[in-house]
Amino acid sequence: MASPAAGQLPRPGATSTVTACEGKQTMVAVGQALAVNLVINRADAWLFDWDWARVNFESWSRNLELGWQWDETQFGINMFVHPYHGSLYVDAARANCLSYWEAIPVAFLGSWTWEFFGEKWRPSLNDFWMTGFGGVAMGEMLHRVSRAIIDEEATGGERITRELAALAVNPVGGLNRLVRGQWTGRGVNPVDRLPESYMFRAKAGGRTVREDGSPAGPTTSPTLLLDVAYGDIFETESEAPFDVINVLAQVSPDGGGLNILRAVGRLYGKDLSDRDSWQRHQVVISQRFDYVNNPVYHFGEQSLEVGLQSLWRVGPSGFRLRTRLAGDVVLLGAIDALDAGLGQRAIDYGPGLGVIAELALERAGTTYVSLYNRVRYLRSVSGAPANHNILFSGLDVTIPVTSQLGIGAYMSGDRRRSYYEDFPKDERSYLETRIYLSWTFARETAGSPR
Amino acid sequence: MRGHARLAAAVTVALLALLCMVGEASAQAAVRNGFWLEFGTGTGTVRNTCAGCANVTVAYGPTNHLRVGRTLTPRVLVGLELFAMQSSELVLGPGAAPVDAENGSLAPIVIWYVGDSGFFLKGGAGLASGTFTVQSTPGEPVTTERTGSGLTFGVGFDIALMRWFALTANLGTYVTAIGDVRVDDTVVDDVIATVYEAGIGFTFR
Repeated sequence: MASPAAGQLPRPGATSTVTACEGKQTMVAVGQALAVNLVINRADAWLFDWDWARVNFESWSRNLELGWQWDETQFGINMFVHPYHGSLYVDAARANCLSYWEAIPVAFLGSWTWEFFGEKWRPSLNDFWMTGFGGVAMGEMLHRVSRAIIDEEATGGERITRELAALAVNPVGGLNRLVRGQWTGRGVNPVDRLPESYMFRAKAGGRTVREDGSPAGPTTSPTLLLDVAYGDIFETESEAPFDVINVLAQVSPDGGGLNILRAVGRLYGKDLSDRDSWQRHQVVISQRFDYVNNPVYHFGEQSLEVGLQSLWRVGPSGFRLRTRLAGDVVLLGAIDALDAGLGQRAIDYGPGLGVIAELALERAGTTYVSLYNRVRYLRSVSGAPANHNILFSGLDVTIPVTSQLGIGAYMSGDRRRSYYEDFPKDERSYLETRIYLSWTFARETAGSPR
Repeated sequence: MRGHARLAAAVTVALLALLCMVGEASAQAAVRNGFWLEFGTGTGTVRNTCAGCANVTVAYGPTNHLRVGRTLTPRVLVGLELFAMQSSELVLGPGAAPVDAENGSLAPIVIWYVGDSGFFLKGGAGLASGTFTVQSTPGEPVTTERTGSGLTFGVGFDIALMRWFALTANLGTYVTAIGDVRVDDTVVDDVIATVYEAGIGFTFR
C-alpha cells in the first residue's frame, strides 16, 4: 500500500495525502512496452493472418538497412490507431510509476522498435511521430481517466466493475493491477484521483456535411458527440501535465465512424489573477491532438499550444464569458493530398503553425453559445513541396430545457487553400450543420470558487 | 575523402582520450544550473533514402553543432540545437547526379541526465534543411534547397573538468525529411536523410 507523500498537502475536501504511485520501475516499464509490441505483432500474425506482421530476420535487416519512408495512405490507421498503440507504451510507463515526462522516451522507444521490428514494411517516419507524440497525449488521458474510475475504497461487485471498466480504458494499467493483486485489496485513494470538477456532455442528433461546389451533394446521417472536461483551467491548480483535459469526440455511421477526436491537455498554467477576482486570466501551455475524418475531408495534427485563457463574470446572473487566444506549433500535421507530386499519395504530412480564437458564454455547467476560429498552416515535407492554409470556423448554440437537458444547433465552415510548386492552386470549402439534443452532467468534487 | 578519414581518426582518438579521462575527472563535481552552452564538432555519415529507392546511398563528412539552453532541474536541461553536416558525392536517388550536400536542423531539445554520472539522453524535434549542389553540364553549379521536419536522438557523456566547464562526448542521430528534391532534371521522391554523428563538445555552464 502506498504511504503518505512527504510535503504533499491534501486538496480541500480530499480525505488522504496518498500519492498514486510509488516505487519507480523503469526497466519493467521498458520491458512491458516491448512486450506490448510482441503481443500485438503475434496477434496480427497468428490471429488476423496479416502478412505485414510476419516479420523475420530478413525484414529486420532490410528495415535497418533502408530506414525511414513516409506512409501516405490509411489516414485512420496512421492518425488514430497508431496514437492509440503509442498510448499503451505510456500506460506501461505510468503503471510502473514513471512520470509523464519519463514516459515520453518509453513511448518513442516502443514506437521505434515497432516500426523497425514489428512490421515487414519499411519503417514509417509519420507513424513513428504519431505513435510517439499522439501516444503520449492519448496515453496520459487514458491513464488519468482510468485512475478516476478506480476506487480503492470500493468493495465487492462495485470494485470489480470499476476495475473492469478501468481495464477497458487502460489495458496495460489494468493488467498491472490484476497481476499485482490490486483489484481486490482495499486501500486509500490517491489525493489527486479526481479533479476538482468534471463535466460530461452527450449530444445526439443529425448532421449534414457537404463540400461546397461538389457534384457529390451533401451527406446526412445521425451523429453522437461526447464532450468531456476533466478539471478546469481556473479551478484546478497547475501541478502536473494533463491535470486539465478537454476531449471532444464525434461518431457518425458514415465517413469512417469516428469523425472527430480532439483532445487538449494542459502541460503548465500560470495564473495572472486572484482566484476571487471577477476576471481570471491564465497563461497556458497545452499539448493538442486533432483528428478529423469525415466524408469530405481529413485533417490531423499533434501540436503544442501557448495561449491566454480568460474567464469573465457577466453580471449577477451567474453567466460567465470564457475566451481563449493561443498560438500553436504543429509538430506534424496531415491533410488530404490532391494527386500532386510523385508516386502513390493520399496524405500530405508536414509541420506548421496555427492560431486559435475561441469565445463561449456559459452558466452552471451549460455552454449556451460558443464560437471558434482556428487557422492552420502546414508545409508538406512528404512528397511535392506544398503549403496548406486551413481555416476552421464554427458556431454552437444550446438552449437549456432543464438543468441537464437541452436542444442545440451547430454550424461550421472550413476552408482550405493548397499551393503546390508544380500543381495548380486548390481551394475547397466544407460545410457541416448539426441539430441535436444534449445531456450534461457536471460536478465539483472539492471546494472550488465560482 | 582523405580529409574525412583524418577527421574521423582524430575524433576517435579524442573520444578514447575522453574515456581515459573519466576516472580523473570524476572527482570534479558537475554543476548543472542556469544557462548553458555547448559547441562541438565531429564526424558523421549520412544515409539517404527516398520513396523509390531500392538501396540506401551513403556519404561521410564533418559535423558541427551548437546548443544553448537552460537547466530546468539538475537532471533535465532544455535548449535549442543547431546542427550541420557537409558531405560530397551523395546520390539522392535513382538517376540523380551526385551532389555536394549540407544537412542541417534547428530543433528544441531536451537533455535528461540518467543517474548521477554524466551520462545523458537527448531528444528533440524541429526544422530540417537540405542544400544540394550539383555541377550541371554544361554551366554553373546548380543549388537546390529544401526545408522540412527534423528529429534528433542521442546519448552523451559529460566529463566535468571544472565546475563551469565540461568535455562532452556525443553520439547522435538526426533524421531530416525534406520531401521531393529536384536535381538537374531528375525529381527524387520523398527524400529522408539520416545522419549518424560522433563528436566532441565543449560545454560551459
